[in-house]
Amino acid sequence: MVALDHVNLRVQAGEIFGLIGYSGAGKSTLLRCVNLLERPTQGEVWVDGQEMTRLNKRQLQSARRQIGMIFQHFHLLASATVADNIAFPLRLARHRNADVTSRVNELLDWVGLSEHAHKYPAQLSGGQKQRVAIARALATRPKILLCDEATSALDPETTRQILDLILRVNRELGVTVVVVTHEMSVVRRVCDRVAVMEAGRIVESGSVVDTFLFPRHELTRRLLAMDDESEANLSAEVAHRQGNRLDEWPGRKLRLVFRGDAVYRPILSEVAQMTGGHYSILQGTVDVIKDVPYGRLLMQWFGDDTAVAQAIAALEERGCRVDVLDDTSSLPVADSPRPLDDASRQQGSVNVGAGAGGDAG
Amino acid sequence: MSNLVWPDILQATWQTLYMVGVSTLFATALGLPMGVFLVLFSTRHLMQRRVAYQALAVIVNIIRSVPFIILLIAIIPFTEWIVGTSIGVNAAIVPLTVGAAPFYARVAETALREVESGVIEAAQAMGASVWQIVWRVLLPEARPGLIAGVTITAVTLVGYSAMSGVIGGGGLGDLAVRYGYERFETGVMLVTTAILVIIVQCMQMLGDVLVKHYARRS
Repeated sequence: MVALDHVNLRVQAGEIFGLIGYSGAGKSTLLRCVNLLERPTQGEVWVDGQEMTRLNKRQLQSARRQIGMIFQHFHLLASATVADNIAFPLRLARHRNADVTSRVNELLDWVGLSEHAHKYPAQLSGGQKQRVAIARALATRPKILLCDEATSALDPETTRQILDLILRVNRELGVTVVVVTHEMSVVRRVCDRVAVMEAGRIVESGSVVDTFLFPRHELTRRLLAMDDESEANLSAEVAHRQGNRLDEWPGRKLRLVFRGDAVYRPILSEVAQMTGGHYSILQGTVDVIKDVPYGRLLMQWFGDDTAVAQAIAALEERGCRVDVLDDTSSLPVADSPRPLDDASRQQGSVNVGAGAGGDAG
Repeated sequence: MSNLVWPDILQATWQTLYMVGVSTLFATALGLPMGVFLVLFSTRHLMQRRVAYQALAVIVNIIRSVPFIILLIAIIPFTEWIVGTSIGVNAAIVPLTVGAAPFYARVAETALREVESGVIEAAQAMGASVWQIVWRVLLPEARPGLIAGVTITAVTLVGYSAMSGVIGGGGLGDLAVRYGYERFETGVMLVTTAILVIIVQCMQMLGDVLVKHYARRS
């Protein structure tokens, strides 16, 4: 069975990269290829300038100390205290006892668990266990943190706290993070870029904002639809019903998507004034994903076809993406992928080359 | 029951404790590494070795299937080679150890298999070597099960030690057979049996206390 096929992935230093897909898509297998918990039968894995599959046992062990990893079920040592769990990777690397103690205290403080140092994992909540796991993963000051469904066993509030902690790991410590998840909300909260996986392949990848606003693959749209807060649910049904009341006036229903500076400029009123038209907003959101502001609106633009076409041209000129919703169609789906920003940086720190996983299953 | 018997009973009690204590120690020391290798060599484990696993498993199974009384006699040459004599308490310790080590190996194997594979994987991800995983993950995480296994082995050895009379090993079991079964001295048999029961009870309690102490953490 081929677990991964022709996967080519480049993660840039300092970013948070998301791998999303349903279970069995191969996202965890791909993640585990990064530290070679899973050894690809073909292909290369480059981490920080090192080709992992060519390392010998010793070299691989020391390379792995540069890559922290956390798991869905935490995988803490049940027989060791919180402090000893965090000290574990340091003892593996034969650090001096005094150094171990000071580093452990520093990490306990950083994840906010100082008063639980001498408890055993069984005495902690799920969120606390994941904090211990994060502290343990960071103990050897790795450059990369791999998160394998790290919040999937946690409740929504705890998930939020752990995601905030992962953001801190990235921002305060400059650690590059790769997150595997099946939840779009996790990607939206923490990731800079994302790859969508299905059946061992990457079907779509790009910046999180673009993927949210301009999903190209059907699977991405389905994943977005599961995320309540995403506006993929800008429902055509609702629009259609509301639109019907407007049928007595001539006009077209438009779907507007814009991001970045366009959010702050008076685009709509400008275009309305310029073309002498009028509009009505039926549904919409203006929000921020990972520091990038975006807006999407479902609106009725009044006027005859010439006036509407003029308005559309003016809106597009100002950086909006406009789709005319056919009154008879029920899905406001964007067909032609037109990401607004195509900055493709090439400097990378994790690069999983075309790999066919063995019998991972 | 004559008063002359009491010194015999006291001596036999000491012999039993000595035989069981020392052979439990040796059986554990030999059986634990065997158990560790049975786990490491098994399919999809850290040192997967098909042939080595099968070889070890067959040895363990053969020794475990030979009735102890036959093992006792069959390995007399080996016993002589090890302790220089084939009779007495020290000579009994050799077959007791040989018989119990594979038993403990299987018990240890079961306990070690209980360690969550995810925890082992997490250690691997942190750059742990196979031996670091054995010392710092497998053995500490399986400690309650390993201790419970020592208790089971020791109790089993109390039973085995009764047969050591065949090679002059002495002990309470031997006394019970000689006085109670062969001479119809029911009193001696009852007393020795009662002492055996008390010994087994004490060992079990001690084992349980230790298991509880370590299991509280998980």
